[in-house]
Amino acid sequence: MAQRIARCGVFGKDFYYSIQHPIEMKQLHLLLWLCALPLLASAQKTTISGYLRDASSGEPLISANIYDQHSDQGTVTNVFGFYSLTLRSDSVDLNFSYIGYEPVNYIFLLEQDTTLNIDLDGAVQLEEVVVRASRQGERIEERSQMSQMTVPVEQIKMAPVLLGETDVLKTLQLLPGVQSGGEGQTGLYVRGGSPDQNLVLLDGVPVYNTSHLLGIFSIFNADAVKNVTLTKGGFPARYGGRLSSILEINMKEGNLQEWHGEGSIGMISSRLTLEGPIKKDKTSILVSGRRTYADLLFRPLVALANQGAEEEVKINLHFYDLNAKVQHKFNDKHRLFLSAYLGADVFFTDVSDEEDSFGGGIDWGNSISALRWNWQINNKIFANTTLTYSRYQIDVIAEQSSRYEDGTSEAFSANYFSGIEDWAGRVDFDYLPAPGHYIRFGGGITNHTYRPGALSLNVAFDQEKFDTLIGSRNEFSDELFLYLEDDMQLGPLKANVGLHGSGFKVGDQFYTSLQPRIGLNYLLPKDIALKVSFARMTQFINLLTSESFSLPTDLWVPSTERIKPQQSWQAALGIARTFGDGIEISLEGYYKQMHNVISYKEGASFLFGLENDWQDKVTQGDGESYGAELFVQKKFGRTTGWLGYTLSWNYRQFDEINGGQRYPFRYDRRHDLSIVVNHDFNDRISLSGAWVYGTGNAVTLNTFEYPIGYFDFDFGSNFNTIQSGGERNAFRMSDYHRLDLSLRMTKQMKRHQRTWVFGVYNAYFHRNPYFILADRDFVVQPDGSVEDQPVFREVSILPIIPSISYQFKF
Amino acid sequence: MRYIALFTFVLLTVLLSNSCGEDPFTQIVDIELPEHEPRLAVHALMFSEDDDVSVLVSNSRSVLSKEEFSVFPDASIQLSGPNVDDVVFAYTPDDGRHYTLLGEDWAADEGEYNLEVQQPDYPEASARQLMPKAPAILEVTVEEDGALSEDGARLDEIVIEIQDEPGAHYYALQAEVEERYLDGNNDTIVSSYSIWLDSNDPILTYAEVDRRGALVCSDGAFDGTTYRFATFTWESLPFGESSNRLLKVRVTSLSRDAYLYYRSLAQYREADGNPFAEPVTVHSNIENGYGIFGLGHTTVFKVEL
Repeated sequence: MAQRIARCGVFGKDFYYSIQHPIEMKQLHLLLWLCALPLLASAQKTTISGYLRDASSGEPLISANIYDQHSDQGTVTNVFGFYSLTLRSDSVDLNFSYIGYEPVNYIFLLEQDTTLNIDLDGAVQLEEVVVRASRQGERIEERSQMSQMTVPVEQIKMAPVLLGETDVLKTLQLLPGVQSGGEGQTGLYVRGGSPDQNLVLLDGVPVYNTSHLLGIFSIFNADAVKNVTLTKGGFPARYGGRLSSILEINMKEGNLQEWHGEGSIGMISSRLTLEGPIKKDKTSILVSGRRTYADLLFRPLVALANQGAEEEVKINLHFYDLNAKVQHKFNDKHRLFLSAYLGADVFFTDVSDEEDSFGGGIDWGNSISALRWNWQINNKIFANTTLTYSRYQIDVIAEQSSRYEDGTSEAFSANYFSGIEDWAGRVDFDYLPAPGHYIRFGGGITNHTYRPGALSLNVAFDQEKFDTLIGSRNEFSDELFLYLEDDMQLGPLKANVGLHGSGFKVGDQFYTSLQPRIGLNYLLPKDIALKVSFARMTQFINLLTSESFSLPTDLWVPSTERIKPQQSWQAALGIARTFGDGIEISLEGYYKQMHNVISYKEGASFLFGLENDWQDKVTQGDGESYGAELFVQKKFGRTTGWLGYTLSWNYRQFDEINGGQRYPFRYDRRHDLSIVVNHDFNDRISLSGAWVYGTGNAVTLNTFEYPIGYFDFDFGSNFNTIQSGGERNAFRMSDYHRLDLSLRMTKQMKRHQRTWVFGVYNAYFHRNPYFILADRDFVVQPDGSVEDQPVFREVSILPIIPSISYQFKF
Repeated sequence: MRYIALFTFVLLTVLLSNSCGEDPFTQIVDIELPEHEPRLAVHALMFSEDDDVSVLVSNSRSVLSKEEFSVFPDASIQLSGPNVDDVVFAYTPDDGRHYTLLGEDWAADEGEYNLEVQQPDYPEASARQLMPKAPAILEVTVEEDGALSEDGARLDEIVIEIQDEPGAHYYALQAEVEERYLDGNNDTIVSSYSIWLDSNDPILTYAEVDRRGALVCSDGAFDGTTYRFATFTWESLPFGESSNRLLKVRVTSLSRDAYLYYRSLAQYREADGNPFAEPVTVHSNIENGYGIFGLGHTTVFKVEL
């Protein structure tokens, strides 16, 4: 007896079908086959198109698979859930599938162009989805795109937490080929690249600073995120502007069916997400917010400490972010989205008494918004038009004021600020003319405004006032691009071939770049996929960052007449296979060359020398990185997880640094290992753990010293010395390793589902170094005496950190 | 419930076991520094204008060493090249340096000079330099309040025009005011003071050359052509105060090693104490040792004020 497991719409009618009765299926096949006989004489092509969505929320399913078992042709949905498949007029046996959802089979006689919208239900028990390993296009060996990893949000939420916060970027750092910069940092170092070489897109809008709390958390609220995809190589032509990776974070679009919410109350922050229909099946809204409250918690303690003290101390430390999205569906062909992100970090301290006041702090934040129009032009062409705005700004403030008994006063304030602002528009077309071809083309333009560091000084002394701005000049540039790519299937060979062309105008300078891209996937016998890719990339905007620290004060600057665009080419080769019950194994090797990579010159820093042009503080050179990545993942069963191991080498060479000699990049991490395990004891309790290990970061240490001057006075002599160390980054800090654990206890209450999450970060309290400095200390000698001698001291910032949080979902 | 209890027990155990002892946020680490073999440290910068030159001979040591630095009165120094053969160095305890007289016009254009230093306890150190050609100063113009600083201040301008020759060259610009006057005994007294040059030209950077401030650059932007260095001074020049005042503009063509040394030393000094600054390696060209042997050929242009 047929039962409804999915709702399908064809010309407005509902069809019901079931996959649980093979005999009935065979009979139906025979019937349809007989009906289809007259049509065999006709070779007419017809197109099936439509959208795949989550049945309960209406959220589009990205990269879901549609496969016709009769013709052995298939396709995938795009980012908005749209698909199009052109087949011969014949009977079709379509399989619609998406990981974590009940698959649907739909058999009918294809006589004319058909619109078929499918809503998939989430799988109740994944173990019963028997044929998952054979679903076309889902297995790692069948994906044409290599060097790409899609991390489901559910997997991110299961990962161990820091201070009760699940973090998108921290989870990505557990993948092979992706390194963190060090303790607490959310920056991504992908295949030897630096953080500015990653294009981070939030709903298609570039994000320039991805960290809260100096890199301890990312700005992405996992509750508002639908999926995360990281591409490390073999870049399709539709992407450009960065050398090392593309990180796409897509927000949820809002539940079109009913209102839902989820949130969390943690030790230092809380978050709440609400989504639901303003008009069912037409308009929805999603709002998600998060704020720390460390400042609120500490305020009474600080007030208590201030009692009776001569000085009053005030501390303001918090971050917040707010995501909002509205979607409106005019009809099946037109849909409009408006999304926005607003976030900021504030850290400020003020110490004051009756006469004096000293204050200082730093605040930074992003403002992002996107207006998107989806237009299904016909059953083969889909267009997406996007207008975006992105702004990042940072302020570093220092203030001092004094009041004197004679009534006079003086005041001083310094405000360093910098930032970048973009206005952009782009149009993307998806064109599916025939099975085996998925053509994408489009173009766009971005106007950038840069403020590469300015210092505002205000001094008031008696009757005198002084007000000046140093390094205040804004800079502007326009960046445009066009691209064309085709995802092809030629028997066992899948190929993605494309061309990305870009131009960059800054001042009187106009740079252009043609970037070929190719990715091949060949299915060998025994379902082993051989993958190879080549990509050229060009990057026109740069991040000036110290190799010693990654700070929000890092400056975004354009390529100019003096500073050439960064360029790279990368080749990768890999094999992949799925074993047994869903264990995926992939092994990839890569080689990357980078040109015109940027670095501060020896002795330069962001804060000093502001009166000079920033271009005088930087130099350009080359980079080379290569390595191998092993990834083993188990996706199904009570115990899931993955192992990622990277063996890599990473070098830089600048004529003006290290005497022009090649040296290891600071983040040259020879070995990087991550083991992530999640075990479901039952439906209510799960334990997850992550152990990471990495070779210590490279550092420059002075190892010897010698005089360059000498003075002999009556009262003594003195040498004027300098220290030197030979090679740059010739030494290593201690190896980094850390164990994080997280225990989740879920219970379905009357009106909501609640989860207690107990976590511990750095469970065995390994002092992972953040930086190293030369110091002096009293050291006990073998004979028991104590001597003052030079030592090297590693400073850590994150000890063992337990956490408890309460999560709820309704 | 038992899971919570177990979790809490393990957590407390780890916390307690790590809460005692040294500072939880720092630790002294043993970084295996390569064993440093002390070598001679030589500091010898010689300019054509000087008729005596000096060499400092000392030693290097590991940063972890407790040994003291030394100056070596018994060091043996040989300087060879055009017009300097057979010079003899004598040690002066005041500044620990070895001096020798070279006489005027000792510097030979493109002459090769070799420096060798021996000391019984260390391997011999040596270096080789080519004396640059004397730079050709075409013109120097001085204008009172002729320049504008970045913040809009009116300053005295000094424009120095030179003719560069093809090939890599490195320049240092300096200036001083010289005045002559008669004292009570009708003796002519000559006094001079250095003035600090500055510039908005991005190719010029500040360095201390021959114990005086200078602007240094390479000729990458104007190789083989004439170039006008637009500089200014924050000190008011004594225009018209007396007929016995001269502005002496000194343009020195530095050897490449000397240029790299001065520039890297300036960066080193500026980065000292700044935790955000990139590490700097001071340039060294002494074979079998450390330090610098560099040469400079100076042309002086005088302008009456």
